[in-house]
Amino acid sequence: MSKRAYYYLSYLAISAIYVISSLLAPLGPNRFNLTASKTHLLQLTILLPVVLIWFAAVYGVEKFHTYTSSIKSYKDGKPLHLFATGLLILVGSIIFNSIVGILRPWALADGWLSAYTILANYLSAWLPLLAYACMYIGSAQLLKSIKTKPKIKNPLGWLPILLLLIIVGAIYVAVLLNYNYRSSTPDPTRYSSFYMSDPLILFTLALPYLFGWGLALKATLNLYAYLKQVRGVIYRSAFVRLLSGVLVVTLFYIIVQMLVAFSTYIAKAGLGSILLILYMLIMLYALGFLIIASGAKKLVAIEKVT
Amino acid sequence: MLAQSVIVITQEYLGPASERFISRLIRFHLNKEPEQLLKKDIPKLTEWVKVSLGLLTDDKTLVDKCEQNLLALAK
Repeated sequence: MSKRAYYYLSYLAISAIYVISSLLAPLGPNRFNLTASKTHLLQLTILLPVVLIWFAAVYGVEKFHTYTSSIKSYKDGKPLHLFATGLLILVGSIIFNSIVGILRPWALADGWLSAYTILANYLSAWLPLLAYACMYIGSAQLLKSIKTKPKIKNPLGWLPILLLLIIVGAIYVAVLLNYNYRSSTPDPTRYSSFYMSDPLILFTLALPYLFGWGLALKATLNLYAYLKQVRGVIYRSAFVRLLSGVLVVTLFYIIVQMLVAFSTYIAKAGLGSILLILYMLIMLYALGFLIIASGAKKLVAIEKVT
Repeated sequence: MLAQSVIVITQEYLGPASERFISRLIRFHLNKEPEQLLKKDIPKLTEWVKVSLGLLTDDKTLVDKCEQNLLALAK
């Protein structure tokens, strides 16, 4: 079986498991007083677009990873391959976290919601962190690969990112400390909980989130710096497309993770606003990966033309 | 090495992909290794570079400029 077939067959199998399991999951009481059939219908309106978006993600990352695999023995190819591997891990973590999410109704019905929630929260924070770390290291090595003479370091390199993270971190702590159901909840269908102590939430969930976002943003800035310095008019026009896609995907996923981290606010929002946010994010996500695929195809064309 | 000079010129268009691109063209169309490239091979190689770049961009000026720079290596 070819590597490409492996990507798409895995995608089909996981999508089937996701849709079927989600529809078979026990239905608990919901905040919007929907009947079982309406709930299933609503589930389908979310599940099917999600599966289609996964296809865009798998398609984009497969194109990018296949391209970098073909050049990984070269000076520019090795770091770019590490970056693509990071993006592959990110897509894997997005899909895996959704699959884990299927278990929630069973956890709620069978009384192991606290264990499930802790595991799901850790997976949401740590798997993307691994992906971001690969993307950052790859981008830093790629930038280093074209530096021919020592340049004066930009003192603002990390500063805007650090300031942004400090602001987000401060808001997160303020929201957390004002939330009443941090370690337990009287009604899990209405109020979600971390089922953890405050220090554990801060140091093992919030901190990895913030650190990951910092790495992701810096990785994107590194790619931008690379684009600015690398030679090649045709190469740059293909690379700028790839960078645009990476930027959209990274920003999208940071927003998704922020929504997960700040789920307190989401829980208080109405159904309409939740769906609107979800669909907007889904569209951005698909767009980002399709742009990545387009950029990768252009780069592949450069590598294949004879 | 002459191939290196060709790579430097095409880097203006293909950046880091230039080395792979030129090596591929030399092996595929001239049936030799890049280090065996001679001045007399430049016109033929330039033709193939021109055709290949034409497939990657619609900018004729850019392709023509590359052609001129490569042919100058044969002199």
